[in-house]
Amino acid sequence: MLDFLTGIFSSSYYTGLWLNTAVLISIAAFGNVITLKSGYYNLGGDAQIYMAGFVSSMCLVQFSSFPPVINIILTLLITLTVSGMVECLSSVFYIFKRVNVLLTTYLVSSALIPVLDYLTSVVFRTKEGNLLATEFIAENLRLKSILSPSPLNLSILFLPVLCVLVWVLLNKTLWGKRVIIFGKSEEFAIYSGLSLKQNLCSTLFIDGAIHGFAGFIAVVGTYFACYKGFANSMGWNALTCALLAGKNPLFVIPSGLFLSWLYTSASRFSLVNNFGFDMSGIIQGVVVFAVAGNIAFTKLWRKK
Amino acid sequence: MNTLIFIIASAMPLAIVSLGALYSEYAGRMVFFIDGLVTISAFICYAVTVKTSNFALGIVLCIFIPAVFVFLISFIVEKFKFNYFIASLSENIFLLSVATAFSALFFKTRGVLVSDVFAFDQRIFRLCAVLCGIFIISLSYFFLHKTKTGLYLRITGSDPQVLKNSNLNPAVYRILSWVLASLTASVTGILLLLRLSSFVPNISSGIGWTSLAIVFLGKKKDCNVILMALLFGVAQYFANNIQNIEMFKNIPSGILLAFPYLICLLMLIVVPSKRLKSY
Repeated sequence: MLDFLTGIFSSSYYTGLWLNTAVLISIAAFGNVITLKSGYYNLGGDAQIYMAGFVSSMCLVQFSSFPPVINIILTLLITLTVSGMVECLSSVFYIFKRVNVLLTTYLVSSALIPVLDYLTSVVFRTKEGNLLATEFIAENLRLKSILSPSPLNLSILFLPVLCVLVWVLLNKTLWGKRVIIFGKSEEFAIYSGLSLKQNLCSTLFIDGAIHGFAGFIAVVGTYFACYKGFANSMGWNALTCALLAGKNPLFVIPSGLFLSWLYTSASRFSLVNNFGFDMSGIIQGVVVFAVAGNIAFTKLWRKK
Repeated sequence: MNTLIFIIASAMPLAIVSLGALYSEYAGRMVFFIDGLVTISAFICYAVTVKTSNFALGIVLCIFIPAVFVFLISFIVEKFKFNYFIASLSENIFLLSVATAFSALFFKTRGVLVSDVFAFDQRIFRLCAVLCGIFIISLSYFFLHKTKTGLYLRITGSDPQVLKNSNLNPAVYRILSWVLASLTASVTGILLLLRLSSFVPNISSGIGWTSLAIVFLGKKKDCNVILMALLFGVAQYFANNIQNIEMFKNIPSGILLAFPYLICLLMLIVVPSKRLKSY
C-alpha cells in the first residue's frame, strides 16, 4: 500500500512523469471547465488533442525552413484553429438539429480517431525506424527537458499562466459572465436577450482550442512527433479533472496533480507487480463516481 | 432474401439496445454506460461459457450480474441524489476497464479471446438475432403500450408530478428504466458474441452511443427507433461492403472504422428535426 502511495517519488523518472501527465491533463481540463461552466459536456477531448498533435507535428516539420519563432507561432495558430473548429462542429449540430453537444462531440471524436490513426501510422508515417508515428520535429523546436530522464519539460510553466487566464476570462469579462449565466439557466439567459448561438460557438471553439494547446504541448514537450493513439484517454482524464475541480479553474491544477498521481502510481504499481492490466480506468471510474456523489452531498449540505 | 435477413440480423443488436436507451430517456435518466454494459456482459458470457463449458449458465450470469450491478448503482444514485449524468459516465469508464482487467486476470491477455468451446455458425447468430429481436420488440411494445407500468415509465421523465399525485414514486421507475437498459445491453452483448464467435475488447464499438443517436433520430418513439436502427443496419451493411465496389476498393481501413460514426452523423444531418429559433 505504501509503495502505491509513495512509489512515484522513488525515482526522478516517475516524479517527472507524474508532473508531466498533470500538466497535459490540467491544460486540457481548463477547456473542459469553460464548457462545463456553460452547461455543456465535451466528450471529444481525445480527438481534439490527437488532431492538434497531428497538425502540430505536420506543420512543425513542413515549416522547418522558417525561423523557429515564426514556425512555432504559425503552427500554434493553425493547431488551435483546427482543434477549435473540430469542437465547433458540434455547435452546428446543436443549432440546426438540436442534437445534444455531448453526443455529437463523442461521435465526431470517434469518427476522427481511426482516420487520424490511419494518417499517422500509414500515410505520414516516418521512414526512420519502425515507429507508428509521424516525422520527428527539429531539435530547436522542442521544449527543454527539466528532470531527465523523465518527460517533464518547461511546459509546466504554462500551467499557472493558463490558470489565471481562464479564471480572468470566466470571472472578470462580460463573455465569462454570459457563459456562467448560460450554465446556470439557458432559458433565463435566452429570455435576457443573450445569444445562444454566439455563446455556444465561442465556448466550444475556445474549449477545442485549449485542448489543441494540450496536443501542441504534448508534441513539442513530450513526444516530439505524433504517435498513433498518443492522446488515448487524455480527453477523458481532462474531463474527470475538470469535474473533480468542481468547474473551478483555481482547483484544476491540484486536481490534475491528484489524478496524475493516481494514474502514474496505478500504472507503476501494475508494472512492478506484473498485473498485466492498467488499473487507471478502474480508478478513474471510481473517482468520477465519487465526484457524482460529492456534488450531491455538497448540494444537500448547502440546503441544510 | 439472404442479404435482407443478414441486414435485419445485423441491425437487431442495435435495435434491442436502442430500446433500452429509450426506456432511460423516457424516465429522464439517459443511460451513458451502455457500451460498458455490452462489453462486460459479453465478457461474462464468454468467460463463464469457456470456463464451465455451459453456455446457458453464461447467458444467465451475463444477464443477472450486470442487472444487479446496475440496480445497486441506480439505487445509490436515487437514494443519495447523485448527479446521475456524471455517475452514468463514470460507470462506462469503470465497466470497460473492469472487462479488460478480468480478461488479463483470467485469460492472461487483453486482446482477442478465442476458444473451441465458443464457436458458432453464422446461421445460428442470424436465427437468434431475428427471433430475439422480434420477441423483445413485441414484448417492449406490449410493455410500453399495454401495461400500467409501461405507461408510468413513459411519463416518469416528462411528468413525474403525475406519478407523485398518484402516490407512486418516480425513483422506482427511474431505477427500473436503468435495469431494463441493462437487460437489453446484456442481450446485445450475447448477440455480438454469437456474431463474432469470440470476445474482442472493443466488442461494443460505440453501439451504446449510436443507440443514443438512434433514440434522438427516432424522436423518442419506439416504432421510429426500431425503424431508424434498421435503417442504420442497411447503411452499415453498405459501408461494410463498400470495398466490393470497384470504385471504392482501395478505401483506407481508417475510414472504414470511422463509418459507423460517420453514418450516425450523416443521419443526424439528413433526418429533419426542430431547428433552433433565431436567438
